[in-house]
Amino acid sequence: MNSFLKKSVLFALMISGIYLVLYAISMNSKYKPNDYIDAIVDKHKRVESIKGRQVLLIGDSNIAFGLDSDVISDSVNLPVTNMALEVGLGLEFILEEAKDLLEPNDVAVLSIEYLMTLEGSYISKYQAGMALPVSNDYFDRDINSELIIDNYFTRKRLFEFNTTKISNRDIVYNRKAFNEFGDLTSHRSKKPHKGNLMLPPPQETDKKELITAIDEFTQYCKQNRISVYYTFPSIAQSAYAKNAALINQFTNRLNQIDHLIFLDGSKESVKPDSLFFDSVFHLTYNERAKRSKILGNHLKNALKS
Amino acid sequence: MFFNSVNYAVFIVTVFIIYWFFLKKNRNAQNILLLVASYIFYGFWNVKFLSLLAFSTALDYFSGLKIENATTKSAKKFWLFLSITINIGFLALFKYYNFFVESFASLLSTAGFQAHLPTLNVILPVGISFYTFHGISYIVDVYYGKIKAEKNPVDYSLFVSFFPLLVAGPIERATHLLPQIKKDRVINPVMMTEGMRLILWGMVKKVVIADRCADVVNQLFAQYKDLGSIYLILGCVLFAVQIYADFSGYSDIALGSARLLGFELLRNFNYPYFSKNIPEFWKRWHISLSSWFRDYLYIPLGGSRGSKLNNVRNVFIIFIVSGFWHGANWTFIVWGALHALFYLPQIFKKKHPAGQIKTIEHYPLIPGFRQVLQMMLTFAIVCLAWVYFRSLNVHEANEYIINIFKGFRDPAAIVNQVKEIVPGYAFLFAVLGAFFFVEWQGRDHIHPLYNIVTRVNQPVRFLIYMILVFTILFSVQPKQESFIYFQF
Repeated sequence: MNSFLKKSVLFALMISGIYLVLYAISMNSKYKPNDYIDAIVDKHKRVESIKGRQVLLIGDSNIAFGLDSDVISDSVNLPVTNMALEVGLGLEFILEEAKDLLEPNDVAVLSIEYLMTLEGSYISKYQAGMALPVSNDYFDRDINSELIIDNYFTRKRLFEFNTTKISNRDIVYNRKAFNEFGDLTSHRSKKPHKGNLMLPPPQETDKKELITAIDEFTQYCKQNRISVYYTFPSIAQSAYAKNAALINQFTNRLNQIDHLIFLDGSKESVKPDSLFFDSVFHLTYNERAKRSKILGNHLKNALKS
Repeated sequence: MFFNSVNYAVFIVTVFIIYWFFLKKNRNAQNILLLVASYIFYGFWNVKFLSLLAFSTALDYFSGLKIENATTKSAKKFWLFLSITINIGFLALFKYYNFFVESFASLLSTAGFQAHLPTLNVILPVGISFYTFHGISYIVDVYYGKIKAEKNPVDYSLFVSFFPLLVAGPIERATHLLPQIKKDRVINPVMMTEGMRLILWGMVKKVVIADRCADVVNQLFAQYKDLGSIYLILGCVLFAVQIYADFSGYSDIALGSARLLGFELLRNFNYPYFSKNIPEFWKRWHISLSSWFRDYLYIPLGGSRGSKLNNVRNVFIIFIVSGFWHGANWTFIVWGALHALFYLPQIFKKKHPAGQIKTIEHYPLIPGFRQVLQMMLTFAIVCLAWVYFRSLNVHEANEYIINIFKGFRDPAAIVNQVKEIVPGYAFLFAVLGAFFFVEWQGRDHIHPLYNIVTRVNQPVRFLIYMILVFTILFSVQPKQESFIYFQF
């Protein structure tokens, strides 16, 4: 036993020692992870700088890509901020963030992609927490996941030798990709992706937990005199055709939420594939203006009534 | 708590230290510690279902005593029947109720009746299929007098809920594990070293192989309608590798963890993809489940005794039930039925394959052409059946397989796909090639590292371990894949 233990402890110490050395070496690496999520800092700054009633666009990249806040702002005569970043943050994070920022009399416009999950991906939330410490309050911290992510970045720093190489993804997805309102505009002069659009795997998971979260959020807004509206995410025709049953099931459940006002319908958000940029939820730059105009008018009418 | 998590590393080290250093001389205290640790381990998933585990344990514990104390055969039968019915009842409720209701509603709809039957909104308790089978095997063994009913509730509870095997097996037998629980454990450095090696190799399988394959498999199966034949073949081959590395990796870590605590669990895998035919595959794949079905279903049904027709019937029953055990979906039933079909030729062969099980261990390092062909053919038909196991429904699986064959009408497209795949996945192929070579050279031992590390001196051995540890560390993905068999 003693020999076994001695060898085990020695081995563990050697592994830990080597790992610490590698970690220290990695800290001198020029590798920089993608900073798309860091835009959360800029979005928060904008919302906090606005005094008085404002509109927050809440959701994922379908909104980041697909709405022009300036156009909506012109329609409703209120300052608008596009809070959306990516689906990976998960609905729980996104709604907690919204609750933190919304004040009485504000207007919340919610839109979530059909592949949204409640928890999202820990790495996105972790990166958001690193950039904006207050956002650590929007999700449950998990030390196990954080160690794994730290280890992942150590590997990246050690082995991503070509730090000057910019991937196609980085050109569109980065912190500077957003305008002052929080809309993603880096795809303005880019041609839509050739070939198949990114199509996520069909989500067979139960979406009831999302409905419950949206329901609770709607109740919260009602109690705090915040107007809350829902706009369906734009989706490419081909993806809709493949997932129609699941989408309709989700839409039917959404329709049962009290006090949630819909600005449009799920079917009118289905558009030809040619109007999408790189995924089945990301409209092209030109198409976003059209969607924003229509949504702005719908919101204007809804606010009047 | 996943085996491949920091939480588990802290957990097992803590249990190990308390177990061997503070409670070394007190077996009862050690058993209590393991029981408490097992409930903590399970509670990490869902605290609410601890009560279900405790109820199932209590039910079988008291049923066992009642059976043993019963003076009449009918009383024994009553308690046996009661225990099995309640055990299966829980399984049916949590795992199969919605499937039966939806299938019945669909049948009514086909006949022109519209029925809206209530379904349950419950999640499947982790490990229920495994601990239910532990309990049933115990009760049956007590009924047939193969084992005495356990009187110590702690020892019995530990048998059912011992954490290395609680959530995904191996499915233990009371005759094998209970005597170990009731015996003083002695410190055995050789056993512990082997335990550590099993954990190390299990982690390599899970983190380096299974999770790496999973990314590709998920993409290919999600887009199978738009993909060519070679991509589809790649999808099912990689899924075959993924499910093997995932499940056998889990089993290795379970066996290794148990050995650190002085327990020898049943072996679950014995290099199944080197099998020469389907019967041999089933002697090497998920051994604890296939032997469970053999002992508690196949043999009571008559096994291979009687007419060929009876034998065929029994083979179909055992495989279909085994498929259904995996999940409430027609895909698993078709998967089981396909394996029954693949098994049939062996029934009609003059020479039964029994006795062939050990032959691959004695093959030369470079096997003969015929042997390779047999292994590849067996692997190919196993892969074909995996398509049903992996698909969301039977229709998709059928479409997937049809698309594989359809694609061969266009040879130019096939060539293009090969040109894309070979460079695109070169690194993955190299990793898998190295993995299967290591497995092949070590096929005569419970883990393939044995033949390598026992032939070199200690510094080299440490170096090998270190390379494996860092390969694991730097292969961990931020988004971890759950173990596939947790869903069963």
